[in-house]
Order: sequence, then structure tokens, then C-alpha cells
Amino acid sequence: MKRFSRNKPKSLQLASKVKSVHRSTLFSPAKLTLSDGSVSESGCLKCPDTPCMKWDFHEISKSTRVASVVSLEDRVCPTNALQPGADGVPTVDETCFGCGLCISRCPVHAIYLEKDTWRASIGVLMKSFEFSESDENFLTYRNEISELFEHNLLTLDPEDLVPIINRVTDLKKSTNNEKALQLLVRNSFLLKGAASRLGNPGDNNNWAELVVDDGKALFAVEIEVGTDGLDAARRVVSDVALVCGRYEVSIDLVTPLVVMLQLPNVRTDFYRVAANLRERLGLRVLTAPIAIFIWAVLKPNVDLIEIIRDYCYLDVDNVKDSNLSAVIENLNDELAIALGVVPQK
Amino acid sequence: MKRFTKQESLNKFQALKEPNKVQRSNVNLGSNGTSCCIECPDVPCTKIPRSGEVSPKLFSICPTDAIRTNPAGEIVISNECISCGLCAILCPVAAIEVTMDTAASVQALRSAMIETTTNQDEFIERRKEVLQKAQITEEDVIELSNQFSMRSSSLTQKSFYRLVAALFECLGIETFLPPAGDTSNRIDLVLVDSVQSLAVEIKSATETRSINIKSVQQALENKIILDQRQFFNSTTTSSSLVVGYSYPPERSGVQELIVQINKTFEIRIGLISIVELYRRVLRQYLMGIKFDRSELLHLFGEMK
Repeated sequence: MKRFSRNKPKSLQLASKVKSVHRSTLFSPAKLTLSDGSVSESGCLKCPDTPCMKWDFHEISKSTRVASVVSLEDRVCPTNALQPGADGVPTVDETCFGCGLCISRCPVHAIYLEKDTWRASIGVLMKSFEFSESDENFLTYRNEISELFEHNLLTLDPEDLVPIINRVTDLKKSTNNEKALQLLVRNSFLLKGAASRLGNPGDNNNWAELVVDDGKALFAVEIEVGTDGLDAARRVVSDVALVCGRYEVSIDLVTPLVVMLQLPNVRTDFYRVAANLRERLGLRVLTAPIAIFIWAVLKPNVDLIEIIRDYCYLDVDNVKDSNLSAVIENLNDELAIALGVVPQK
Repeated sequence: MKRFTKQESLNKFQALKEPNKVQRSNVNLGSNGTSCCIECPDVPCTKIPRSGEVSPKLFSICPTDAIRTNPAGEIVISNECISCGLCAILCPVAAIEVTMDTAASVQALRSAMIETTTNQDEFIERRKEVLQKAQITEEDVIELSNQFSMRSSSLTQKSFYRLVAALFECLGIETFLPPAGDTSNRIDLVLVDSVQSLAVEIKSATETRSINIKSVQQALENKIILDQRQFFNSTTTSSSLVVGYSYPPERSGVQELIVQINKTFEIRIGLISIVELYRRVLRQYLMGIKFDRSELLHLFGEMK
């Protein structure tokens, strides 16, 4: 194999020309500042490994401390809206609900949210930057661009989350939607670097819908599409029983987590049951609304696990003073209710 | 419904006057025409007396309220009858007949026996002598309980719940069915006791043919709610029960979940099939084997 090419590949030209990569809004691709001072929008590199669509095997198979059946589902897009396009640039169909996973996965930040549709869209690279897909040094060049990204410049108006959250919370209970939500949650954790394993439905050896382990916290996760938080709480408590019983691990190791489309109404029995579980079993069942996952996906510097660990224990005694909504910046009361991060009264 | 003429019933009453003349059929629980309704003032076929600490002093047995006393003082059974057999089991003189194929139960017409004494205690004593003793065998009980439980498979959720409550009441256990819509007490049925009340999760066959993982998860939550909220007195060591149509298949994961819940939380979940519940009722009333409540108290896994 030829290691050095006499003719510099075009992609090398691109990498050498890029001086900085930044974006201040999700509504357009990142801005590439080139060595000659000109500014250009980032665009699809037609990556052969398609990180916007697929996880690497090593990413989805990272092990958790307790064994669990692993699903080999490597899809990034929860609804499978992203498909390979004829010209190598992926296409996005109307099932996209704008969760931002592909946006965060794109190494060169070429994917953005279209403001009128609130769906992902893929920027096209200017012609002069085209390169050969077969270039063996492609990954190196891509990484160079990727590392230039200044994530702290990105601002996000929480109001822009509302159309996305509305589309997610409108999901009706169905097998497809359950799968979409599972992938959204698992992929959010994967994006933040935690081992995150989906079980296979119907497998009795499997003890939880999802197991997440970031080295510190070990979560047993049940996701509720619909409004029956109590059912999800019952499932997650039996997950704890199964993992502690089977693997003889201490009950303190496992944190049960219920993910819901929005926090249950304060008048439901949910928060009282949470208090009863803590008093009777010493079990703190955490409750996370889906909005914080989408917030964490869209904001690269947000620590999802820390938010869940520190803000998501809600029961009848503390739910009224919960400051979970504070984890999303610049949120007023009305928006917090619209996003489902404070319970309705 | 079969009705006897006055003359027929008077003839039959002759049999009642002679002790131990009536024989209960091991097929339909009636007397093959040798007995008739003696219009017991305490209507044991309809009402069961209880302590009345948390609920009315009399419990109405019939899950669909099909059995009633009409203004003329006769016991009548409407076509809402689901042939659960409880009134026939409870009738002390085997005057009610359960037909296995149709819904109707049958009883004979009024007699003069009630006029022979005005003393209720004396009446009840004399009533005890009507039936011949110990004619129903364990084999009969198994056959009857299979028949009755099979018939419960098509019951609506509401009728099934009331049937389960009635079976426990027949065993001398006071029950509490929380009113629909009570969000703070979502336990299907509570077996009330002054010290050790038990929560029961009920699954009708129309909801799930056999007891499933969901039922066990609910039983665990019931136990936590019962112990923490103290609507009724309970102790942490007593079981939480599930009553369902049939036991889970071996590979359902239900048995393992029960074991792991016990290992992790030290909570015992007990499963009771409707046929086992019927067996205990039939044994108590037809064979004289009194039910022992301690069988429920620490039940772990399936009741056999």
C-alpha cells in the first residue's frame, strides 16, 4: 500500500486551510475560517464510516459493571430518518423530530436544524473542498477539523426546544415509538461517553430496558412512552431486584431511573409512591423528562449524568421546590411547563 | 330457573323434618329434588356475617347481585347469574342447584319449616341436621373447583374482582375493595386484619390468562403502599398476594422475579390461582376442613 502520495489529496488541502471551526447557532452549519481569512460554511464530507448514522461497534459494546444482554443496534437516528443519499450526502425524511443526535455526531458540524421545519438538514461543502473518499489519511484530516471546534460559542434559546419537545411528547404508544425513545435515550448517554446498553425486548434474561454505566453511576433505566409513570416505576424497581439478586451486588450500586416524555402531574400518586419506595426500600427512583436529554444532546458541554444524579430525584416532599428546570438555561415558568421539566399542577 | 309447586315443596319438606335425609349432589351441589328452600331468616346463601369493623356487618356474596329475596320472602335468582356456585355451596340444605351448562341456579319454593320455630338459634341447629355429612370427597372437590374456575374465565374484570372477594369472605376473611377512582389506595383488594392485613393484586382471565410479570410488579408496589400508608394495619414480614386465573408458565420469568424480590427487598410475593381458592372454599363447606389463614400470611410463590 502506498503510504505517501505524490499528489496531495484534496482533503489535505481542506484541512490545512481550516484555521478555526465554530458555530453560534444550531440553525446553520459551523463556520470554517480558512487560512486566507475567508469564512465558509461546513458541509458533508461524505464520511465512509457515516458517524451521523452509525455508532462504531466499540461504542455500543462498552461494558457495564453488571452483565446485560447487548443489543447490536448501531443506529444513531432514533426514527431512522437519516438515510444514505445517492451522491454520498445523507438524506433526512419527515420522521425526523429534530433531537440533534446526528447534529452532535457530525465531526465537522455540517448538520444543522432547519428553522421552519425544525428538522435536521445537511450542509453541502463548497466545490473547491471536495476530496477523495478513498483517501487513507481521511480520518486524520477529519479529526484535525473536528478538534478545532469551539463548542462554547454555541448558544441555544430554550424556546427553540419547544417544537422538538412537542413532536417527541406527541408520540403515541407504539412499538416503533418505543424503539425511537429507547434509541434517543441510549444514544444521548453514548454521546456523553457512558457505557449504555439496550436489552432485547422479550428476553427474560434481560433485566432492564437500558443499562447505563459511566464508571460512577450505574443506572437501570425504564422509558415510558405515554403517561403511566407508575408502571415505569414498578418496572424499574423490579429491575433493581433482578440485578441485585442475580449478581449479588449491593442495592446502593444501582440507581433506578424512569425517563418520561414529561414529568407527571403533581396530583398523581407518582411522587407519593417515590417517597414510599425511599422510606420502605431505601430506593431513590429518579425521574428524568425527555427534554433534558435533548438539551444535553444539543449542548455539547452539558453533563447529562450529573444533571440526572443531582436534580432528578423527585418525590412528594421535594417536587414543588424542584430546581430541575434550572439546568436548562434561561427558562421561564411557562417554557418549563411546555418542556415538561416541571410537573403540571 | 326451576320452580316447584307448593304441593311439591310441601312433599319435599317431609324429608327435611327427618334428620340427615338430604344428600348433596357432587355434580350440581343440589339435592336432586329431596330438599327445598327453607327461607332461612339469616339468608346464608346471600349474605355472610362479619365483624363489621371497617365495612358493613353483612357481605353480599353474589358477584353480580343475581340472588335476591323478593317481597314475598322467596329467594330468586335472576339471569345475571354467572354460575359461580357460591350460593349453592353456602346453602345449608342443598336447595340450590348449579347447572353447569346454563347460567341459572335453581332453588325450591317456600316451606313451612320456618313456622315450626320462631327461635333463630333453634332453627339454625335444626338446619344443620338436614344434610347427610361427608358425602363429598377430595376428588369431587377437584372436579368441582376445575368446573367453577373454568367458568370464571369469561367474567368481566368487575365480576371477577367481586368473585375473588366473595371467595375470601367464604373463608372467613374480611375484605375491602377500594372504590373505583381512589388514587391514593390503588390496591385491588385488601384482606383486612387488625394486625396483619394483606394486599391482593387481582388479574382476571380477560386481562391476562396467567399471572404475569406485571402482576408481580404491582403486588410489590401494593405491599409498599400498604405498609407505608397504613390505611390498614400490616406488618413488613407478611406476604403480598396475586390472585389470577392460572399460574405462569415456567419460562415466563415470574418465578425468578419473585425469588429476586425476596432476596433483594425481603418481601414475599404469593400467587393464588382461582382454582386453588375454590378448592379451599369447597373443602371448608362441603368437607368440613376449615381454612387456616396462616396459609396466606407468609405465602411465597404458588399456593398448591
